[in-house]
Amino acid sequence: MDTLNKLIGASNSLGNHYIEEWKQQGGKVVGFFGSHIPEEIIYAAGLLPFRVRPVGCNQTREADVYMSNVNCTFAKCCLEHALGDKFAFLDGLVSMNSCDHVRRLYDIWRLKSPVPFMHFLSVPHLTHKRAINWYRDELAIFRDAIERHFEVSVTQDNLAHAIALYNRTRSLLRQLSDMLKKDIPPITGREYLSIVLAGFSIPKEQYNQLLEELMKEIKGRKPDVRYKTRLLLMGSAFDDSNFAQVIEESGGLIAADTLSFGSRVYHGILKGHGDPIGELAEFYLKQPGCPRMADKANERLDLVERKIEEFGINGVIYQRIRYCNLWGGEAFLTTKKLEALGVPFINLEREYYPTALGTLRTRIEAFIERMSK
Amino acid sequence: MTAAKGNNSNIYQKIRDTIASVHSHVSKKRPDEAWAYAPGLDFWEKRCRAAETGEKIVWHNFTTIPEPFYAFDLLPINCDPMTAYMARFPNIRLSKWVDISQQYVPDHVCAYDKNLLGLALSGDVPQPAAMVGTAGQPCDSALTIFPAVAEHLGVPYYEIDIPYWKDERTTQYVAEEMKGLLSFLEVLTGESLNMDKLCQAIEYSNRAHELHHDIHLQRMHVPCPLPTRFLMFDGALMNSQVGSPDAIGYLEKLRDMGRNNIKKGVGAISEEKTRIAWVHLPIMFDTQIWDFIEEAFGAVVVQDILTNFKYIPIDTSSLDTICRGLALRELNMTMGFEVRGPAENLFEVAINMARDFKVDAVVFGGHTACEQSWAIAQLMKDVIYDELGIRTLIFDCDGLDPRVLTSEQLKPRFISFLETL
Repeated sequence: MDTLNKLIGASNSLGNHYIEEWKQQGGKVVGFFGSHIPEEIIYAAGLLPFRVRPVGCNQTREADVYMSNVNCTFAKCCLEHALGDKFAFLDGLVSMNSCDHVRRLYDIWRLKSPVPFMHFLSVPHLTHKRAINWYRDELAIFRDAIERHFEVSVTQDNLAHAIALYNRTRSLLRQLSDMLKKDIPPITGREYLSIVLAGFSIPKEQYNQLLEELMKEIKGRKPDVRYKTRLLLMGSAFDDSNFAQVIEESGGLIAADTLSFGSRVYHGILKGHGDPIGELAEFYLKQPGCPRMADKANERLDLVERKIEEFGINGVIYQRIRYCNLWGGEAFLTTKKLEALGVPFINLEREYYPTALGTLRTRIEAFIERMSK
Repeated sequence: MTAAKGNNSNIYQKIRDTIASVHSHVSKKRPDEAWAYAPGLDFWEKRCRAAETGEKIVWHNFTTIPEPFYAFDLLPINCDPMTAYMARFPNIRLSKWVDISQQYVPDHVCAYDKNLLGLALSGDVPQPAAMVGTAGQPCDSALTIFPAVAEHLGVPYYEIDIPYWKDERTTQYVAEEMKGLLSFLEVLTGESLNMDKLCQAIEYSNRAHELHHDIHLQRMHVPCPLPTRFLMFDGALMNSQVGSPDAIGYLEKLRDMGRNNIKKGVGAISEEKTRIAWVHLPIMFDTQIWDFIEEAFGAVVVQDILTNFKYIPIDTSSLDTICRGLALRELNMTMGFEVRGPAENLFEVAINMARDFKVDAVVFGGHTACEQSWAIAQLMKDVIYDELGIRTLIFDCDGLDPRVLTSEQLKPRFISFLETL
């Protein structure tokens, strides 16, 4: 399982040898946030897109100087890393108005520890035609800014190539995720989440190659998966392998998800028509995404319902990072929906970094136990 | 108008009755101030009547401008001032609806939104004909709860999308969103837009904004000619009643009061010692805390962020100019502009307030759910000090819910800060 270990290794560390090699060859790395920023544009500029995650953060001493105790620990951990120069390998950073915490994180990062290239995208909260046109213009401005700063050219051909490459990634990840539909899947949910995360920091050509190798390697694999129930994981940013481990050790297989660090990465396929920037704008804006998309609540809930059916889900873990008011507010309609469907669920509040795992374990074990009766 | 499910004890009536009682009390004790309660009483009287006659009420959020509703003879209710009224009146006990909502959403969701959700779930309020909200301002709580309440109640919903920026492209985008709102209201009422009525509503609001601008400038005067507590009335009125003639009488009286005091060379309090800019939401559950600092320290809150409206007259010569003007007002709504875009928006407003109103201190009484402001509160404090040498008191509270921190727990923070000035 060499490939699987490589991917898991890349998911568990802030940097990796792929980034080092990229930098050694004179390549530039651009960090970005959220699931509405098209990586394809960064990639088409010959830059390495890096999805910002504060891997390894376990306290927020410096970040607490600026952000308050009512700000989410994902944003605070990112700031902690930024102030501590842990993201020093970034040559650029692009952010968006994804939520109140992340947009303020960008403000503080920009004012206190600026990266050579910084850009902000105003992403609409709605998906009507006017909003799509707005976002198309925002992306064109973004492309122009990249071209100016890095002295590169983002051509139609480069964009078309990047779109095709990313479509391949989506397709491979979907195949991988479909394996979790099996009664005895060749990978665990925890492994699947790590594989998705690894893609945030590996150049896509190499990542696709690794995914293809992985598919071959795990064919016929029978891991020690003994689960009592099949779970869907949803809610705030989730890349905590310790927490995933707790869930699976408690007897729950993470068989499906609607996470931004999970299946939202490969939701849908771009068709590749004549106006790549326009198509990227429409594609990324229309992602059901997180609750910041104000007119997509029903679509998000329908997606949960569909996955419950397709993946044979018995229960749902709705996990929120404390002070995330997007997922906090979304809990109302989600609760109503899951109650109407008669699907057991648990609403868990947590911090971004691993903490109180014992308490979480007890709650998850009790939840799974209750479902098994 | 159908009632939402539940016992329908009707919160509109409770608010109206409580204001009537306060109005009656003030008429006896401070008759020269009773007029200040009249617009609020009139507002809720009309909503109570509408709940009986079936006139259409539209709920809108904090940062949605009310003028378009008046152009269609609709009766808007700005849900956040409604909640603020509920918090201010202890007999109403807002905690009931906050608790109901917390069966579904966590405690850190804003109490303004939790109250609305709790009301919708309890059925203690007549169901509106429609709801209108804003996405992009003021916060994530409002972004998720407002449409969810509309979905729960099954009422038509329109969302105004507000971009992050403040440039011409943004203004044009929001102007189109305003046209979308007018179309939505046409469908809701079954009536085509009447330009005469729209112009009339804008003329009323232009007059109200003009008067409010005069009052705004008066508050810069030393000593401040107007008492702090009037800020509460101004904020609710400017958020709910501009676009109707109902705002104008109050504003004229207030403007005259300020003018007379300036002419006489007197301030609102006998000895103004300290001038304060309040750059966050007021403590709604105990507005008398402002009276307390006036009396105990001669400290006057000369301006707060909620009442800090920009003066934007609207050109009524065409639908395009009107929608452009409405867009500019929308983009500059208080607690919209400051909290929406880059941190510099809040810094700019705070510095201008502190400088223009010649304050000695700034207070950031941070409603805990305003996480977007809390994230940059420390930076704002530094910027104000670096730029003007003025200190800022930062403290946290839930502006609606005294169960988090009571007035008695908050007062010592004021006392120790004000004593050092």
